[in-house]
Amino acid sequence: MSRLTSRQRQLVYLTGILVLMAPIIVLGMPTTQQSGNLGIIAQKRLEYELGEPSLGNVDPASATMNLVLLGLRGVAANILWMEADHLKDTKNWSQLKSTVESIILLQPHFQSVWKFQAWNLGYNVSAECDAVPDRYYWVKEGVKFLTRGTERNTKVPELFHDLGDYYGKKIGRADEHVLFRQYFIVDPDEARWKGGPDEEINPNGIDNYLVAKDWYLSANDKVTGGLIEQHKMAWPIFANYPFRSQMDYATIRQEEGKFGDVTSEAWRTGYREWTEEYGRMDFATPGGVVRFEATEDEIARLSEQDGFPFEEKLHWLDRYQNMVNYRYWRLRCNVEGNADMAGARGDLANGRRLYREVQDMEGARAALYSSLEKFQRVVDTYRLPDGTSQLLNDETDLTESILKGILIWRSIVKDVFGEEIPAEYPMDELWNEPRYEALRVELEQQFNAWQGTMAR
Amino acid sequence: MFEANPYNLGWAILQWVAALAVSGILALLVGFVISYLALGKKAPAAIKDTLKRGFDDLTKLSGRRIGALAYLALKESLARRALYVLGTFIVLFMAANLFLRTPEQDVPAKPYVSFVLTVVQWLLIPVALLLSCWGLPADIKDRSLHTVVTKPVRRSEIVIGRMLGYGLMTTMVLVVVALFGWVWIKRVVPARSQAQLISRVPVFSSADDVKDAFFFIDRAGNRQQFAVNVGDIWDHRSFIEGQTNSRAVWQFENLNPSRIGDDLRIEYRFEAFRSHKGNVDEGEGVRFRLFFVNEAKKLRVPFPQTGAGVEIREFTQETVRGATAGTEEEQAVLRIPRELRAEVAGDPSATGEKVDLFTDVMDNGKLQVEVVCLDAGQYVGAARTDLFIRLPDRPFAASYFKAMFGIWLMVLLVIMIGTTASTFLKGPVATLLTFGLVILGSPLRSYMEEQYTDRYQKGEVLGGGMLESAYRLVTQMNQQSPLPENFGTKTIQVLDEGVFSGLAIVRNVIPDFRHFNMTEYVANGFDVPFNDAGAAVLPSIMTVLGFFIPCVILGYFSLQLRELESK
Amino acid sequence: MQAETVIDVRNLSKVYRDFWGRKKVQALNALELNVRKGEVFGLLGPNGSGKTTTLKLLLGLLFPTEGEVTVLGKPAHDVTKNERIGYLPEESYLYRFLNADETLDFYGRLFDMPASVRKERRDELIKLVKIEGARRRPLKEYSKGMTRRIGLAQALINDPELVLLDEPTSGLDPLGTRDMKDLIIRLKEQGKTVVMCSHLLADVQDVCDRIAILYGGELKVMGGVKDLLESQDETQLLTSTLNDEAIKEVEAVLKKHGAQLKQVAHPTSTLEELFLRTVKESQERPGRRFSPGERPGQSDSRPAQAAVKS
Repeated sequence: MSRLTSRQRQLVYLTGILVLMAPIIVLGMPTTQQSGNLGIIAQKRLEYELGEPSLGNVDPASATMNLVLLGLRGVAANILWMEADHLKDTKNWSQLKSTVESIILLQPHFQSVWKFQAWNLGYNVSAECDAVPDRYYWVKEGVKFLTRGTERNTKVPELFHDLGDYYGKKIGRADEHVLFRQYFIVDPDEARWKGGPDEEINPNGIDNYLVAKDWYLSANDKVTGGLIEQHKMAWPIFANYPFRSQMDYATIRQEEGKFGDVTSEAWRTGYREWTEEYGRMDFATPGGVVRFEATEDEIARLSEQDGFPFEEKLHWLDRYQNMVNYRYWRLRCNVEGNADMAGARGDLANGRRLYREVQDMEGARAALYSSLEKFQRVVDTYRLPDGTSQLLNDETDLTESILKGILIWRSIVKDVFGEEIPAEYPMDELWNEPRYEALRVELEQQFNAWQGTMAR
Repeated sequence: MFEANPYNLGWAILQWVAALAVSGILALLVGFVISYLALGKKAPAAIKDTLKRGFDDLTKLSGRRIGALAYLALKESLARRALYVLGTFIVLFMAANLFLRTPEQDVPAKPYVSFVLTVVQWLLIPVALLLSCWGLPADIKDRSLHTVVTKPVRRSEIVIGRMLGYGLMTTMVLVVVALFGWVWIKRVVPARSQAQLISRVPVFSSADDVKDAFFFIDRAGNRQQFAVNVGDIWDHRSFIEGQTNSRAVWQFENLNPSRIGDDLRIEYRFEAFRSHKGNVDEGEGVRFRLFFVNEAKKLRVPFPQTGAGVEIREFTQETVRGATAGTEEEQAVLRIPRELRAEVAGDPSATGEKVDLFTDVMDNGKLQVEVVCLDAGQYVGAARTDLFIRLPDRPFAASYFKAMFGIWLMVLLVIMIGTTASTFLKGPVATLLTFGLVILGSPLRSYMEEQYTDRYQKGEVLGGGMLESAYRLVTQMNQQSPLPENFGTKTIQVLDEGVFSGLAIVRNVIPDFRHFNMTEYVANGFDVPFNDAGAAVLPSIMTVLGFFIPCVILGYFSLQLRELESK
Repeated sequence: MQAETVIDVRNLSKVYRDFWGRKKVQALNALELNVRKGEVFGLLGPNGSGKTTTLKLLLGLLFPTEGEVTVLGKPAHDVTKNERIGYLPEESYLYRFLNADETLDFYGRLFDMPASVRKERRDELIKLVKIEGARRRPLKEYSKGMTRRIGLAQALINDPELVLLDEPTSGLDPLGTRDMKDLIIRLKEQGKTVVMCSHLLADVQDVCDRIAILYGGELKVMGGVKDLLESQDETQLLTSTLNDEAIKEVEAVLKKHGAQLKQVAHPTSTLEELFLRTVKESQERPGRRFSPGERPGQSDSRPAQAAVKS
């Protein structure tokens, strides 16, 4: 039938291949040649940042693996994934880790793989261990793994945000957070880190919440400047994580009984960032663009710009502020940054300690009184036109602390020294406030019950 | 795969003889039918003649001829660039850092060890396959075999010679690779994990009835095979509750104090489970206490003797923990002195009489060990192999090279099967068949056994047999819901029954490659046992020997009874 | 006296079948053959006539469809008979990665020969087939002719009583062909039996005592070469050159005896002879070239040849 010799047929095939490939070769030429339409694919790839190098670091081993497996990458990844699940079920952690490494060689730009397996290491495996140092070890493994994920995928905001969560929420809020936070500064692997932090995750030896803040900040940068969207949560909430992390840092210092300048400064930084950075960000709402810290003039200007009525814009601004609790945190930072406030909290904690642990009744009485005085000053600072204090309206935790302070002070005055309670004393407005009657009674009962156990 | 039960050699040999006899009789019957169809009345004489010749050819072997043929196969392998595999291996290892993310100081030794052993296995299997499956067919196709068989060479000698030659070739490769891997492990495993490169010699609890070797006592004081399930997907361990009567009990037998050494070393693999957080800020672990019990003498000897018990050290092979790396504490070892004091019943604070663990508590080599959890509301999880007596360690080389020996035996088996297959199949088909057997024999073997046990011991396979499962898949039917009653499903079930019977038969002749895979021992720092029903030295040797004889017979007859002219 | 029978073939048939057992080719049909000790026996026939099939049946490489084969008194499938047989296959099916020494040593070991004997035989045979210079080169580098030579050497490694040669001269240059034929004659002189199959009739004619001609798997002719070729009704004279006059006188003399002169011509030598002479002289007097008209090995008095019909 065919009169072509095999050599001729080969030539025909070759010509066909060349003809079909020509456009690809021409369009796909490297862009260094400045020659019109040549290399258009490479140009576009650069323009839309689709080349692998623009996604993140290129791992030669990963590239080789994918080449060697040809089209079987998906199959191999599936098998490895099943293997990883099996290893996890049978608690073979070290091999789970190396299997996960292999999966990642195959699918380096699939963000779910990084998230899922980091979660496996940092949360699931960690929780299986009983010893806290072991748990911390696996949290670190998760963190290190996810860090590599961000290096390989420099434009994926969620990975950066997740890392912020590991540093902030896993290390800072887990059941074991007291030890975790210590380990973050002084790693339990002392043989290796010589009493310092694990430099792979905390090279500067700073607080975990501050590290978290940095990661959240980069996550924000990826969202505002990048190609890839985040689908984790509403953008105004996503965006406030770094600033909230700063406040978490200040809060936990207070919880740990550190009331000095560093803590006050942390609050002031929090206030500044909240109002000057977060508060100046533009957010799109159904009522157009809003800015949390906008003045009335600014709102008017914004409403002119996008044509939404002023009233509507105000409405949406309010709703969005409520969504992120904007005003509360603004006030909180402002108050806690106040020197009197820090002093008040410090004196209160000191007074309670002197009363309960040292049994220094004189000292306790003085410290508590001084604390109440300072609270009074702060409360007066934030007094509203109707006479109530904004502080006491919003801060139930604070009112509870102050009430406890008054309770102990009154008990010392009356029961220890046998004196009459003065008719007026600092913060007595709170003690006498009918709104807190129920809370006061409950606290008194608790206090009496505690004293009862002590007496026994 | 590890079972902590001895390999039943007698039973295995019996099974082997039976399988051989049945296959022999079947082959004879088939041979008779075929020759009767071809030769008619002359068939019995022909069969008799063939068998007689077969007997001669299989018994009157010449060492020199086999040697020459083996030498030929060796030269052929070299000519076929079998040594390239060494290059591949070394390149792989140079690239291994990329896979294992080294150097990380706190990576345990386990992934390195299992990497080496896995790579060696999966590198040598293809070499063995390609050599053994393609050699003879190529020889027949080139007709170079004609020149050989016109010499006074028995065809059995050709089969054995080939096996031997390829075996020698792969042995040489394996020796190089094993030494290379050894040096690599020693160099690459982080300094702190080097201590994990050991070869523990465990003694596990045992008894005539395995149910006596390990059991639980529940809260009410009743004996149970299982304790509390805490909802773990892996049902390997059962959990006992703290501050109750619950106990886990191990019974050891045939202990020999002279082999144990001065102190009794007990290693455990317990897991803690908390039902409440406990005092987490102080980092306190869940604690347990051991009791050495001699019920006849009413002796209960606690360890630790006083104090708060032992905090569980978990997953010792999975991490490297700082300062304690390599210590016995890191390895979860309890060193128990011989001289102890017994408990005074009903008074935990009193110190009882002095006892010697080996002479007073141990009874004729028997020792009972009990474990209780000390924290109320918390649990300790244990399985039979989670507590063992540690005899003096052997060097890491012992287990490493034993595992290599296992791989060597496995490769020999692959070569034997491949060579045999190549006597009646073309290269590609023989390769597929042999590789199929390897896959059936190792990764799929466990699945096969599971199906077999479900069908013939538990009586029911969830979701049914092959066709029924396919039916359920296609119709998206739940595994548990009953099949509709109709002719179609009846047929399916009957056919599936046939498949199961096939499985039951085939199961006995497919080699169990799991015997050869000793990686887990070495990776976890254990000595490779000589005799175990799972992976061990003895069953590996027996499997290879068991297949050698039928492979030679089958290979001989299929070479003898075919015309070598490939027309 | 009838010599002892070395090969006895009775009613031998061979049918090649396809995968489904259907008959494809009838390669041999009821062949009856016997070869006596000490003779050189030639199997002739065109391609596909069944020569090689016969040899392979003799060697037990193929199984007969019908009939019986006895070689050296044993059935064809008995491997012990091979101890006394040497076989040169049609093409030398040897291992290309071995060199000549290794090849001979390998086959020697297949005969279970001890090392010292192997070495001796090896050196002897390599000299015999003239491949001393290439004994350490792998066979894959050998030319066709050299491959034939080493093939022959391996066939003789065991000093066989019966030598089976399949197309022994194929692929050999005339020099090699002559060596091969000389060797066959030498083997015969040593009392060995040689069976060769070939379609090069000249070679067969030169060395064979008896031949059998196969066609389409059937035996057509069998007998002694001389008996088969000699024509009894003609006489051939060979003289030195005669002039026309002398020829006429001869013709007259013949007439007197009632015979007739059929043809008068100068005898032509065969090309093979010419070639061999040329090579021989070239070896003796290197560098010499023959001028046109001059012929190597030519004697001055050229014989005239006459075919006479009586």
